[in-house]
Amino acid sequence: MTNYFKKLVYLGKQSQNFIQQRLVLPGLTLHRSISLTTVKHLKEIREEKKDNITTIEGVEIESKRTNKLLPSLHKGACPLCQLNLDVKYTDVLILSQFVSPHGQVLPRTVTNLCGYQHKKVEALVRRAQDAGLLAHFQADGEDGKKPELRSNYKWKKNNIHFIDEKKYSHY
Amino acid sequence: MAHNRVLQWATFARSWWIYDAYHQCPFESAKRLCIFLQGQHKPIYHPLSDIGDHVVVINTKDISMKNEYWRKWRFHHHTGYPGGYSQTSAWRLHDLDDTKILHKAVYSRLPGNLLRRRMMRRLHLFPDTEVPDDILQNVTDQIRQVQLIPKPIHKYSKEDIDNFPKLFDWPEEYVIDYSKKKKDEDTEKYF
Repeated sequence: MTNYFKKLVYLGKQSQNFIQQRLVLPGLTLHRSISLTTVKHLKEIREEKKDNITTIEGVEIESKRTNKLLPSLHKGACPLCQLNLDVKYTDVLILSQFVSPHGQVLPRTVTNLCGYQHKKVEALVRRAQDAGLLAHFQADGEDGKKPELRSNYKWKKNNIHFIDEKKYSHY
Repeated sequence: MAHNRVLQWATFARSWWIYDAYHQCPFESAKRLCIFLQGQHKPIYHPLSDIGDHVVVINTKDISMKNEYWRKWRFHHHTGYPGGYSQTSAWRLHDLDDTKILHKAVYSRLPGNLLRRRMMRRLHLFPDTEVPDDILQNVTDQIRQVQLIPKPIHKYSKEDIDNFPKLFDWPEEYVIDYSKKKKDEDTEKYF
């Protein structure tokens, strides 16, 4: 048995690189796998209120995106540089992927974008928000009321568009 | 014979056009409308022969201006009396009268001769789609819109957004937090 414990200690040192490891000890009939590191999952925070008790728990879920990734993309590199697209502020289906539901652009550690593309996406998202295609950051009210999509203030109730300054085209 | 007389009437008839100004730039659409008001779309055009057409414009209240022009573009007015100068921004004029911005854009675009007022009388502007029947019965053809209308994300269906290919997958140990916004159909689009 001491041999097995030595192996576990050695593997524990290796796992400082946060590689997920699952061990099945030979000679023993185990019905579950043992891992030395924490198992990594996408998590979702759910809040429930019953009477006076509020339970906040982090639930593990699978991401819906694994089946819908573009197969031609390499994982480690910037996706927009690989595609070589002329992304405009009206391409809302592309830009909404880089935006959190709060209206903020996601950090580069999550999106794998290079610095140049990240700045471009920030500027395009700002334009799309001003034009009313994406929502500005607006938290829900305390009663659970949703904020209005377009405010009624002076000039903000009117339509806005932007033009491509290089080509001078009104899209 | 009757053949020649009918051809004469057909070439010199004054036709009625309709134009939808929904989400269009007023200055770019004025470029297009002036062509029809002067008659430059006809091969028999001459500046002195009064062969311009009627144009009916609808949805002028839904006009769109570029960048920050709603706030920064100024319309100037002088009454002729001393101290009679005033200027208003575009959004204020639009609040007062929905049709005035397009009216002024077309007026400044037309040539500054004596035919200009006559051509402006043939331009009919309506803020909504409510047009009197007398005018609608005359309309024969439509002028194409100048700009593409962008589609906001709340108008895409959930299936369109889910089936669109994704460019990156969530990293390990990523936490989805619904603290500031409830988990709804609207927020689920982003995941």
